[in-house]
Amino acid sequence: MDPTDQEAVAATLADRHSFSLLVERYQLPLSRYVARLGNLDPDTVKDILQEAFIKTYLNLNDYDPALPFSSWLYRIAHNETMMHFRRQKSRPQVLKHESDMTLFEQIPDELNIFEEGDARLRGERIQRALQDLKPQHRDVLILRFFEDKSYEEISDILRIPQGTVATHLARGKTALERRLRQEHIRDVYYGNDG
Amino acid sequence: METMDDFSKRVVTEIEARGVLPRSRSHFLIQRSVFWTLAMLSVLVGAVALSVADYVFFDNEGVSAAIILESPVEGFIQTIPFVWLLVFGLFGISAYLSFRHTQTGYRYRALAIVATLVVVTVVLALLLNTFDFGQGVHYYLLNHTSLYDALIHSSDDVRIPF
Repeated sequence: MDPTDQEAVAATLADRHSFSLLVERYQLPLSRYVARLGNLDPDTVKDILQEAFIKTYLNLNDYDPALPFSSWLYRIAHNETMMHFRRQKSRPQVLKHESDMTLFEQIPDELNIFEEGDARLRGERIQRALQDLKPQHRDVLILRFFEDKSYEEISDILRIPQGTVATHLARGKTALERRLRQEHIRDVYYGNDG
Repeated sequence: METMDDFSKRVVTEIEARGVLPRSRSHFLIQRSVFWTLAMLSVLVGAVALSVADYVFFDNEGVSAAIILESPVEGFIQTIPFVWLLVFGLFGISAYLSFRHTQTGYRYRALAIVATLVVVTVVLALLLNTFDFGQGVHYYLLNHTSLYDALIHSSDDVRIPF
């Protein structure tokens, strides 16, 4: 039976080579998450992830077992990615993964928007609309829709109250709806729809 | 193409190469206690400021004379202990920021934290004033610092024409 995260943390503190278990367990989901935050190339994602895991190891004694380990790890990865953007003084376009296209199609159901037309066009439209959102709204939407995190987990990752998570989510969805409607009207007018 | 196994080995190798060791538990305990201590000290200083402000504003005998004999509005404004309210405000902000930086401080809404801090500070200030602490601080500063006398309109400063 695989050790729990808490057991893996304890094992790592005793022997640093045990840390590879936690790295292997979270490498894939964190790679996807970091990539979603800014459409980064695979090498940059790996560099950021490496730094995030090294920081995790450095601060392992700060981990509070009352908090899910994944939330704590996501928080470190999020902060490391934001530091990378600040160093680069830019945040590239987000969410350009083929694997996210099916996830894009779930969003209209959440927003009560009837999106007609070609699925790819719909996905691109949603991707552009997400790009235009404020960072605090976009980060919450990514964690909710693409990482399937609960309000409590998002609160722990971004270090904001759960009420603020709900507010950002509501405002982000409203802004997204408005943007999608504008895109839809524009595309219909210019004959780009479907 | 790098496999997951390769990547995890790369991370562990890099940790070894840089000589990274986990920070000690006591490092984090000290860090946490600094924020909690700062928060509590800020509340305490805020309560002291509020207790002195309370004394200066309500117990200052010159207040009624100023209001009756001079312009009521001007008199009222003169008795507001702005300096102490400023100190209270500054340490209130310090208490809020210190609490926010504690391990679980982020979970609470700003309004809830501010409201709780204000209530705790007011209660503490009222408790201090049951022992005339505000009065004691006010007169100590009046007698030992010239700057305080210039900043605060104490009852001694209010001119009574007769």
